[in-house]
Amino acid sequence: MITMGDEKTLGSEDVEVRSNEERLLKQKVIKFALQKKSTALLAHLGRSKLGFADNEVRPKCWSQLLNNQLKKSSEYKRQQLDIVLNSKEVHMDEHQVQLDVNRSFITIETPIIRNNLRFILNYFIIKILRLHPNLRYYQGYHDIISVIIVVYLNMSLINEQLKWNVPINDVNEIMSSLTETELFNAIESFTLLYLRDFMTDSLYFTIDQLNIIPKLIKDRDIFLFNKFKLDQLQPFYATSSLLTVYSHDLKIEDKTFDNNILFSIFDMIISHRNMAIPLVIYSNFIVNAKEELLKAYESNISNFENQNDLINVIIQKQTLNDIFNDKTWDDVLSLTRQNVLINTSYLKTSNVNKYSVLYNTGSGKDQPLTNYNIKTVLNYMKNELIINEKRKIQIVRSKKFQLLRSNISKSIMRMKLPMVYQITLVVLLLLCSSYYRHFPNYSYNIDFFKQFEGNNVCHNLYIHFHRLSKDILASINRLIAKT
Amino acid sequence: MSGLRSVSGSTNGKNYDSIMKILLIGDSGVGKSCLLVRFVDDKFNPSFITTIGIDFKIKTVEINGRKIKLQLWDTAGQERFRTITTAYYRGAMGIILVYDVTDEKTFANIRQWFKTVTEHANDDAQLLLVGNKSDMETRTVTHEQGDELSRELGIPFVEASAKNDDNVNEIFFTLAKLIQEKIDSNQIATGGNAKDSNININSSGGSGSKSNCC
Ligand SMILES: Nc1nc2c(ncn2[C@@H]2O[C@H](COP(=O)(O)OP(=O)(O)O)[C@@H](O)[C@H]2O)c(=O)[nH]1
Ligand SMILES: [Mg+2]
Repeated sequence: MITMGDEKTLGSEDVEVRSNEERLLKQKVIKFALQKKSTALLAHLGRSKLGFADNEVRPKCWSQLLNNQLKKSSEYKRQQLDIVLNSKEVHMDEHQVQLDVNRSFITIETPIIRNNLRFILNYFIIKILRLHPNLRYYQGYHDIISVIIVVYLNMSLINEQLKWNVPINDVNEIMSSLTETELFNAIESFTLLYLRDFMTDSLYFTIDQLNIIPKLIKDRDIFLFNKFKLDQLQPFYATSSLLTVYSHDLKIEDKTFDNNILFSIFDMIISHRNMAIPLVIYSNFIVNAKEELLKAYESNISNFENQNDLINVIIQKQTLNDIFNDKTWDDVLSLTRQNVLINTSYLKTSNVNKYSVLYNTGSGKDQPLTNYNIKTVLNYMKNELIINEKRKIQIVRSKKFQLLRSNISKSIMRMKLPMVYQITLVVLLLLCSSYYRHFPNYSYNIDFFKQFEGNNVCHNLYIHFHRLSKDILASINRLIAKT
Repeated sequence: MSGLRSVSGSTNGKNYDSIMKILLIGDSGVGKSCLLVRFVDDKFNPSFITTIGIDFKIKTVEINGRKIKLQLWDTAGQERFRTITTAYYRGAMGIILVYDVTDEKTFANIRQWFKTVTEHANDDAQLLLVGNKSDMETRTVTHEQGDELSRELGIPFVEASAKNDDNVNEIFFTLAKLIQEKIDSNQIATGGNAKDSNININSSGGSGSKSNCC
């Protein structure tokens, strides 16, 4: 399924040898940094080309950086152990986890190995969820955890390991308890530092993040931005790329268990401590594919009646095309390395909540050495969950409100009144509703509208309009008094 | 199998007589993606990849000598993705509601899905109820139950199996024919004019509702 552009030119073997040398050299430097425990040097290496080179050293680099970024007290770790040991409480998303685990590691051909990997995947996701029951599982989280697992198990050695060829019932049949702990820590830290926004029960914060993509494109290519009217279109095209950090499409290869491009994106995020990177990458894909996109736009314009559908499809398809192309990745990643966001001006005009990863743990600010206490981060999560609930209530309310309003206007239209009265009533209704929208905290009350569903709409509205005009005047006066 | 022929995806130019936007919805795991892949690529993979957000495929079919381009939208089943997927209901001419005959919960949830359709889709969209995995011995939802629900909702019903390629083509051809009949009798608007485009003064932050005409 994944076809890499394998046009061999004459010099390609030379290139391969050279890039292999490069990799070995990089590995040496990384080993040196690990030995010296130099987190700063490690971060620097992870940000440059090839990232952490390969999975022999990669897990150690991730652990070193992540343990530095998220500090877990020994007290916390003890607690954690207790909870996991004693918890038989099933998390409400475990059924969904099962459904997705059954559809994971599809590129791995050997059934026993695939099933063992699924067993491990299920184990770690359930463990995280039971330990943090307020986190909600989302479809796509399993793809990310698959990547971390493969990295930590250094699967390239798998062919020499007989233990993989029997079905397992316990993760310790495959990994030492030390590896298990390290792997779990990495999963937990990566989740809490970078994926928090996605782990509420809604997509509000995910969509807030997605909405940054058009802003980034606007800065880079205003023509493309205007042509596709990207400000009028919700950037749903990038949903799976963001939620899975590209691991939904970039798959781990069979036999070698490799995908260095994918791993190096994770390297970048961790060593920049920057979760805006997937967004920057996506915007670079779009800007990079400008010509193709414009062509696709022209040739598909007659196939779609809906402009939003058209743009979403051509962007999603083109990006998917590029994702399967090594050369494009090289371009996009080197572009991303050059323009990793460090200024957060794009956040100011966005709807991103102030506890979002983009404001703290994954902001990329102050470089990767800043560290957070787990208590602080869990607190961020709590606050995000509160904001999420508030938004949900708001949305439900405004939906109900709209429905009610349209019902009322329908019932006004049905009443046998002279045209003039009907129009007046509708105008009054609109006035009332805009009033309630602008002063949501000031006696916002759906019940109020309910009374108009009956027959004396006319009378009640009239009475209320009088009261309303007084209320509006009063609140305007109050506003003036404040300023 | 039906005697209807299908023509594989075409390229540029308008070498077809009409386009139909069709959506698959239903709980996660009921087999929406498998049905689609079976229909478009004639394959079945028991561990097919999870759908995240929304996916899109196209297939041109021939019905009564007319070439019809089917725009097929596959959606993620997990509840949270409804924010995204309902944005695509707009302008859909056909919507396939899928449940799993071996999983009662997915059947019970059809009412919920039906509700999202009435809230977000065009009034004149043609619906179709599908009970998938009819090949399984472990079914818990009977054919009669499916039938009953379909009568209650007033929409046609088929049982199918993506695995055994049972009734899969029928799903899409039946739907396409029903839509074609509506178009022919001029009941369906070919534009993307969703029903809530009358007094739309809401401003809850989203902007997806603008440029809807063309
Ligand atoms: N026995 C059987 N299994 C099916 C059938 N269709 C799908 N499945 C299984 O159900 C799982 C979920 O299917 P999928 O298409 O991914 O579901 P979706 O979430 O609705 O898209 C697949 O992995 C298949 O193993 C079918 O017709 N018969
Ligand atoms: Mg699917």
